Amino acid sequence: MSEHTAGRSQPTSRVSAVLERVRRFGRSRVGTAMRMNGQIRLGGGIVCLLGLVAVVGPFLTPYDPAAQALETRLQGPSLAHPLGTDSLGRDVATRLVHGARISLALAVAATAVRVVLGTTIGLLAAVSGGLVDTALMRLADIQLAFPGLVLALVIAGALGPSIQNVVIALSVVGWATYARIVRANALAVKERPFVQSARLYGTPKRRIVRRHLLPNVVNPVVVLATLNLGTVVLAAAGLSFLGLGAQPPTAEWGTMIAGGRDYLRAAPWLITAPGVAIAFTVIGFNLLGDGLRDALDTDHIDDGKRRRT
Amino acid sequence: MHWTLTTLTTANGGEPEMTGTLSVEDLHVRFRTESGQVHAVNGVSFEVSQGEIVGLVGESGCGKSVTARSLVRLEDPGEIVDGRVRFDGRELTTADERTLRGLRSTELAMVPQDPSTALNPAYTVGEQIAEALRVHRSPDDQPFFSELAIGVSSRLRSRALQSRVLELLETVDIPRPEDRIDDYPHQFSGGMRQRVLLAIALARDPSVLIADEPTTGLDTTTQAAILDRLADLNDSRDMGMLLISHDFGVVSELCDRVVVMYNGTVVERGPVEAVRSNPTHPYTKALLGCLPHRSEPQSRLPTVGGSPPDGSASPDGCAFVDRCPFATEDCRGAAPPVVHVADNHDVRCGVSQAREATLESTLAADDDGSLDNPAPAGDPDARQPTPATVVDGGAVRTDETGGERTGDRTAEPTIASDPAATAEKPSATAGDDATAAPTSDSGDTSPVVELENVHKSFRESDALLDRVLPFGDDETVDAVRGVSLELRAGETLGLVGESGCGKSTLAKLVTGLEAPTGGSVHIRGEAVDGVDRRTNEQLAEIGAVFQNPGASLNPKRTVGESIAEPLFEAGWDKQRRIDRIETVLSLVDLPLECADRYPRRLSGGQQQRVAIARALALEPAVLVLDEPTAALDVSTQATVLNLLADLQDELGLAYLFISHDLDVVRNAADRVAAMYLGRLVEVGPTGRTLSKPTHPYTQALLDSIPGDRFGEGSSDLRLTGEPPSPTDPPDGCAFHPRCPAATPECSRIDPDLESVSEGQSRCLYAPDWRDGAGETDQHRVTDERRATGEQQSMPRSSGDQR
Amino acid sequence: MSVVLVGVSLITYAFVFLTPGDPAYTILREQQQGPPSDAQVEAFRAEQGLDEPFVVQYASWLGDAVQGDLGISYYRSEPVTSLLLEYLPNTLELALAAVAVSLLLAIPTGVASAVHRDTWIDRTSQIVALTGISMPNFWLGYLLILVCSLWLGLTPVSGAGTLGHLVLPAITLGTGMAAVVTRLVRTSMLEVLDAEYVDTARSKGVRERLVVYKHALRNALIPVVTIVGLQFGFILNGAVIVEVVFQRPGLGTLLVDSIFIRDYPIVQGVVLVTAVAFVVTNQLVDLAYVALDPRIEPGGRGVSANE
Ligand code: SF4
Ligand code: SF4
Repeated sequence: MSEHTAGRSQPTSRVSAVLERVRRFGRSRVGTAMRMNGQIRLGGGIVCLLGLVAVVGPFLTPYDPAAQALETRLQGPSLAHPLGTDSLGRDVATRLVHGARISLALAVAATAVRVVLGTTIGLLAAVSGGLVDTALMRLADIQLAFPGLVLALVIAGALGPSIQNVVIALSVVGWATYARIVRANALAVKERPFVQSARLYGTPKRRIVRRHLLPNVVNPVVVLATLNLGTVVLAAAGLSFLGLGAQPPTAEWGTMIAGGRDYLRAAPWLITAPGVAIAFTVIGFNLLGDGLRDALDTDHIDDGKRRRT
Repeated sequence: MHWTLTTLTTANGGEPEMTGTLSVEDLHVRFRTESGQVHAVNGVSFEVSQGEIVGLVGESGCGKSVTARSLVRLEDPGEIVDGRVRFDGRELTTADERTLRGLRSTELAMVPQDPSTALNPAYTVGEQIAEALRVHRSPDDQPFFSELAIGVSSRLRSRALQSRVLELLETVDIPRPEDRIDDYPHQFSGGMRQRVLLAIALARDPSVLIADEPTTGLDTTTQAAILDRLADLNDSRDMGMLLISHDFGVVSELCDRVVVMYNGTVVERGPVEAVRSNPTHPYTKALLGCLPHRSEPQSRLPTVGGSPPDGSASPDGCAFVDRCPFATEDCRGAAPPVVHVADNHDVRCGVSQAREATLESTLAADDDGSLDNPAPAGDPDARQPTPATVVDGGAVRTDETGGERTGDRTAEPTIASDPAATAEKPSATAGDDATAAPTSDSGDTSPVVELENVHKSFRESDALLDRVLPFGDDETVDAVRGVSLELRAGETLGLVGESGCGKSTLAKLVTGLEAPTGGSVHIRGEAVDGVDRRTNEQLAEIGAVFQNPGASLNPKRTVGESIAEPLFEAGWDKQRRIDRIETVLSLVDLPLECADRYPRRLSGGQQQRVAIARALALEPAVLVLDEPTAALDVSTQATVLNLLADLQDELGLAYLFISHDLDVVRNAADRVAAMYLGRLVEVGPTGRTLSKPTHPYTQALLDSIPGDRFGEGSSDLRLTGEPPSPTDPPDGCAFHPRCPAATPECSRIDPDLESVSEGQSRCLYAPDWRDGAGETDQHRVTDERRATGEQQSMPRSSGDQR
Repeated sequence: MSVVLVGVSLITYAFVFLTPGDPAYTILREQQQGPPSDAQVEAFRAEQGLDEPFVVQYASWLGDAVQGDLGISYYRSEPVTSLLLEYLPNTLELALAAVAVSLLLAIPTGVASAVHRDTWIDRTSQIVALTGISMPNFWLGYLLILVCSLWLGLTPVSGAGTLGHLVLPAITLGTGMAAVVTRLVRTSMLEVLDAEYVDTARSKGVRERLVVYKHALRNALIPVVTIVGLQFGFILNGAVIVEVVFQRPGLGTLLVDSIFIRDYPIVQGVVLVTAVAFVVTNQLVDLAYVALDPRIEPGGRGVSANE
């Protein structure tokens, strides 16, 4: 209480420090949440490790990912080639490291497009209501009616196989989920008394969206995006596996599995290594996403759902 | 009242061998949370004997519900770490699943807390009652697959069960049970669901019924009916009952004995009347003292200082020590002794001075020295915060699940800077409660807000499809039907009525969140539309405070940012904004530090203060307060009500105060308006209206206040059923199907709102209906009106439609 | 829904025009493995109606499609419809088997995981489920082939027809979905087990097993059913890849092959069939929803709040 009285004696300096404190507080809270949550730590660790590998790895590997050495083809794991060599004598470990870069870049790019597109459409629908809302949501329904990979396959096929087209294909098919989630959350937030208060003192729609709706729909989007990074890695690998993504000799995990399938019995490590790499990456994103969901959920707008006196 | 009959005979209940006795001894329950253990229950002991009703009262978080659940071993996720729960000599804390099943299905029935979630949405109510009957018959033989199969079809097939279920539905007063038996819970109103839950409990023909807040969240009218039903059942079945409630009124209406809990311990127990008239523990005194109906209209409410407990304190010492004005060093060190006050009346407090203190002296004198001189408006000195006014100041939100407890335990207890000071503060209008004219702004008498014959109707369905397509059913609901009201500077108009009567819609029409579909709303004489069409000046005139303080603040913005928003929209520059935030924070007695906190770090009372501060930011003339204290504990409610009164004195504000709680309205309002089915049925000065209403509906509302039916002028009216659907209001007087004074005329003639003594009333027989006006000639019905009124018998059926 | 179907068909048809450059030219080049002459392109255009305005083309295609005529494959000179009918049963068989596998695995696991929250049962099933959703199914398919077919010799490596041919693909596809559904059932059950009506049932003295299966699961399945409906898309996605891995003749293999050779009528046909199948499943899911949740009025317009 003495602190409070002290506060009153020099009020100006205190209030002017508001903004700075806000930022610090926000950071520290997220920090606390992360330290508490094992899933976030593990998943985050995996993702950071992969990120590091993707950025630095390619400079450190002793081999060229595309260099063929037919004399050493299909060798099992050894000291020189810790993960063996493929049918053209290329070092599997090197190719794996280079593949990380492609997979992550692709996942980030496609997810980013999905997030931006989906969030914008979802907010637009929620705020406009009426016919705009109906039209946008029908569009989302149409998108959802196509099984993602099938659509992506067709798009990638029509545009021609390339990594860039995989990004386009995977962006076009993924936004509707975001749009729906954002819309649903925004509609719920819109009915909250604090948004009604904002209307009472004449806040323009634009500012209601920016100040009240957007910050309160960010959490589910962040969670979904994290989980989605994993899905995109899987889908991209799938497309490459089918031959519609990265083209040989590019080192890509899906392509590597496709290349190893003819040597299933003779060189099982050829599909094992990239398969584990994909699974490991996706597990990392999933752990991070699940952890974020748990951590951010407590933060979610909640007026006492659980009550036990 | 029945309790007077049973108190003396069964109150002692001291024989453990007595059949049907439920006894609890030294019960301890813990919760494990991320931030450590929470001691939810710390050594609670009491007994419920056959045929007796025991009340367990306390504020939220005191452990009363956990105790109740532990009795039937549903304490999960808590854990009973010590103590005994015995029923009929059987030990429950160590009982196996099979024994428990047997006891639950035949002896101990619990009615859970929240009727809206306590019924399974997937099964018909008939099936849910029948299941209880089946289990009751053979608790050890529950065939897995046939039960699952029954679940799939969900309609009752067995004739024998069906007639029992119907019987039970009838017992709990559900109208037309044969029509409702195959309905799903979502087709029932809250009160009706609570009755179904009661039927499920009765299906077990229990020896003891444990009811956890059975009427919380219901209208007082519904609450009164359910309490009556409980009392009847207790009489007719000789069933023991444990009633858990935060509301002392409810407990004192129904119970023989009461157990008061604070922070996991029992602080006082005894016969209801003894505890009510002679509360001995300082906490009990405080709890009773801050109830609004104990105080004079428009008076300051006494408050309890200090912050509510959070259960993380060590169980050593007295639980109340941090807030107790009489605390000594001994109280802190060791558990206080249990002192015998009178027959069966025990209290856990070792300080005789504390036990003997009067009610008033226990409470914080929630004001400064100027008790006899209400502060002139605008005088800054008058609002120097005293420690006692910052009651929930240092507190951190007490999360009842025990999630986050970073309580500021170092905060000094703030109670009673001057225990001897009297708690009441005569207001400017006290003494003449009939006129209650606002005095603070005497010069200006033109109304700030004026409603002229305002209507608002909604479409039944909000689905877009129905709006776009021509063939959608677009039945409209008339939420507000022709309301005219005016609100003057400095006055408080209390708006009362059951839920669904249109009072919240009326508030939205004033604030502009809804635009009227007929009539007009005027602010300072100018007709206004919805918010989007109002000018900045008009917007600034009206502030709003909502019921749920947690939801009315954006969780992502700090308190300072939230308060700054209206200023920003009004175009204030940064420095002015900062200055104004300081001013309003000090107006609502919050420390400036609050400005950079996020709402979730504040207690409910503090959040509501922030909401008030934001509403005040633009210096409005009117505040619309929609159930501002309904979500708060009584002690917090008292401080918020006091704050509102102070602000009004100081700033000359006009309040439109919406509440379902007539005691609160009596304390806060100058004038009262009662609403029924979208219309005003009575308007008048608070003192007269809430003592001698001119409309039977107002009287019925008054009579439904629990624990308060012994006052004068009570006619003990009980409303049957629930309000009819507003889609199809009854002909004639809308109230006639439920009106105890209704005559055949009432079903044909729709009365106008006409002036009667110092107010207006919409009743054919106002103000004399109470003298059996319908049968005499002394009523106001004019000759031609009477000519149209044929004799026809009106069934007093309930209007419960859904 | 009709809006969605029209949109779906429009997008499906428009795929042809996504290809950079002149579709006729591209198709012919692909067919002949070399640049076609102008005359050839002209002739092809006229034959396929490609020189008419888009709207006209689309309208005539749609008109035919409604009557079950999806055109003729560029290569196999067989009607697309009969090709689809030939391949559809294999895919359907795989999809149903996979759904069966996944539900049989997922529901008991999810329930057990929720009921025994935070015990080893829960942790194990959580880890297994996490691994399940993170594994690329084509990789899982090869691992299964490696172990079951090549090493143990239990099942045939590829093809379709017998039950033996179905086992590995169904497991590959079903386990992936099972992982998703397990997590879903768990989450949903945890929420429901926390609900007050579960305590009401317990306080009646109902057996714990009935509390879980009669009171909790019934409600927990409501959101699960919706998602399983949406997961149908997941199954179709997976079917494409799994069919390629196991070289099963099915819509998936047909689609992939046709994409590479730009056999547009087939591509359009397959996409249209999958999208229509998706829309139809979701209608069925809506029906199931109404049956499961009495709060939903037929027509699926949402929960009617009566308060
Ligand atoms: S006087 Fe002491 S023992 Fe009595 S209530 Fe106060 S703190 Fe507790
Ligand atoms: S008019 Fe008749 S029914 Fe209406 S309130 Fe008066 S007495 Fe009751």
